[in-house]
Amino acid sequence: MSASSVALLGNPNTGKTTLFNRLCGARAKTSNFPGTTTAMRVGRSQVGADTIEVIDLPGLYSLQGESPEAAIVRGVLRGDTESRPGAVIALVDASNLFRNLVLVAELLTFDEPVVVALNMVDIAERTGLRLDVPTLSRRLGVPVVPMVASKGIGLDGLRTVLGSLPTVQVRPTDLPAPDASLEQFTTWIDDVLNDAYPGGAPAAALDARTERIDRVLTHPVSGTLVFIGVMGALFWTLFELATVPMDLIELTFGYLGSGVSAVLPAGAIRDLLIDGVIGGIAGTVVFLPQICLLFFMISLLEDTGYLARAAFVNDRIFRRFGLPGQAFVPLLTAHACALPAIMSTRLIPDRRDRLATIMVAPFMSCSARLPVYILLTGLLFADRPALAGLAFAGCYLLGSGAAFFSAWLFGKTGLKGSPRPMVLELPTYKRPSLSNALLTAKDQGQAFLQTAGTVIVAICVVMWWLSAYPKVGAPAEAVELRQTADSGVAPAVADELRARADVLEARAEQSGSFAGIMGRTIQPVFQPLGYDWQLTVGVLTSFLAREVFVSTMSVIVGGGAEAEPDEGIRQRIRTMTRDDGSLVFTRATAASALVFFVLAMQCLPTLAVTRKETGKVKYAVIQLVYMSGLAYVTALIVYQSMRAVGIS
Amino acid sequence: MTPAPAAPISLSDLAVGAVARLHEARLDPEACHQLRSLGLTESCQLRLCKTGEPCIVQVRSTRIGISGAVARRIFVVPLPVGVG
Repeated sequence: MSASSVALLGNPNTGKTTLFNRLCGARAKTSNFPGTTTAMRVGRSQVGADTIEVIDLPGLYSLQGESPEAAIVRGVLRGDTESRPGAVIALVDASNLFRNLVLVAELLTFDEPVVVALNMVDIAERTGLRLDVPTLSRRLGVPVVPMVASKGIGLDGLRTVLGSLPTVQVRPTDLPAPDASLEQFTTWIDDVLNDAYPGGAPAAALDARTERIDRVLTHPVSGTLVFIGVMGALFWTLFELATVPMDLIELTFGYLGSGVSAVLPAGAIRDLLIDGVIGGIAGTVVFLPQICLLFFMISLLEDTGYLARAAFVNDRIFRRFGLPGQAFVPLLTAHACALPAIMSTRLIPDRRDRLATIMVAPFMSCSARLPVYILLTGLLFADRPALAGLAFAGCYLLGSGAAFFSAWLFGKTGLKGSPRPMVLELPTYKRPSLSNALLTAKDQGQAFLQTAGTVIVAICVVMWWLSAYPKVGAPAEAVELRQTADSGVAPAVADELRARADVLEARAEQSGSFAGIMGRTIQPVFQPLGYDWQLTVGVLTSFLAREVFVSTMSVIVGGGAEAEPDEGIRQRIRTMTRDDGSLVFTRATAASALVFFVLAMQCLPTLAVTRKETGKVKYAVIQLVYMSGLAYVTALIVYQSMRAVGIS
Repeated sequence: MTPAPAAPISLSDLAVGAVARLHEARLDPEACHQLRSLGLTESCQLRLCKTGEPCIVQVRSTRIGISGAVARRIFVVPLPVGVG
């Protein structure tokens, strides 16, 4: 008979993802194990006439211990959750059989029927390992199916065995007791392998090629140089290649908005659909290319075996600040976007280390800060481009410095402790699987849209509503301009007059909206930082996303809502005045605003992803309060210090 | 006459290429469990492939990277040349 569901269990780096993809194709769904943030993939596979459910369990080395992964797998095997499988496929690497079989021995103490999938037999044979498969099967008391999952070899045999498994597992009589120590399981596996390898278990040979590559990749100098090269390529791809699909997405949603605008009459429903729903979905989907590309490349790097080596290269520096070596991928990725960065912290096994990385990753200057930096450094050093460039670089340094300082601070306070000293398996170097990488990118993109995406769209709709309502009447000047435009002037002049009227109406709308009213109300809080009500509105609206600051300021000074305003608009922002006629952007105010934007948490989608990845709202709240608090205090110090030394 | 067994030394003091038997890991229980689940079980035989940061050992077919902080707290008994 065949079980209605089977679980896939194995050590990391045994080709588990490859086998899962071979069995289930691209139709797998990703969710979390109940009550945890550990990802669970579930797919369907055909076994004879039946369709069975395949559950991909987290990769792990032992069922013992306190790790979340071991607890989840023990729970699944004991039937603590609804996802109890009818059988288990234990995937083992034929070229590293000893350590892999210790996990199988532990698994055999449970009740589920087991089939051992003996993967990578081609590599084992190339290294001269000759295994007596029937003897191994007899000693373990379960079927053993030799296979090469990456080439699909042995899949039919595995499906046949799955279709004829017994309902209850009969344990080998000499199997250690369920509560036996790892050493006892190890001794038993030693005995099993002495039987299964004709002439006794072979001594492991040293792999000269792996030795040579490891010496280069883990060396303090050459390892660092290779790391800079690899990460530079990854960073470039995220920054540059992703812009093509991102532009296409924005263009498509722009067309969609125009289409809806042409069909629906003007009014609240049209505004809600175009600016709220379509704008919100566009603002979410636009992150997809970076997320998919990042996970595609991480999957390729992980497959090659490089990531484990790179973790050691960074561990020397990172651990001084309370971060693990594996934090390098999230922290580097955060320079493009904090969303994929936070999602990529799943590479970090220890929960404290993962939390510390999630909490500080958004300090890194993401691409959304770029237009803000360009605008504010230009205001700070309007006539000295070299100094503006230095200030621009300083923003990146300040962000990174704040991230490492905060990681150190969290390590001394809320997330007490040091990062777990690094002990990692260094897997054999392998050619990466393109299909695995594509499926991983698809899975992660899908998971992002299903979970964080829905929250982000809802947030965007609310923020749009705050910025668009209540509706205020058109200002008299705009009404006058429209009347002149309709009075029979030349078409080109009429178009220009209407455009100016649009801008005036947008500015009045911004000022009279709930966000505008809040800006005026909250302005006293930002007074010590040198901000007037207009700058406060800019800060408030940019809590949706930082780049909104530039378009908000542009609207306030009477320009359009472009993300990258032209020189004329920049000049108007530079010379915009407060209610008392003084300049809004003095040097001290511009510096204070720049520091605020480097450090503040002004990205609601990031908070949504933090909540999802940590499983708790409190971490998103702490992140918001801590980052914005640090931004406020630092901006205050900068503004007041500059004023104290006579720079206003 | 049988030579006296060598005294335990720190893994970080072992020479590259030397084979040794694991004696003791003076680490917290979680770290000890991590080492054991990777194959560094009580009295297992290991070969030191690289010293420094990280140090790399091979236990049967598994290569394990170990940070210097951990390696200093793992004690091994060197085995005579020719063993392993």
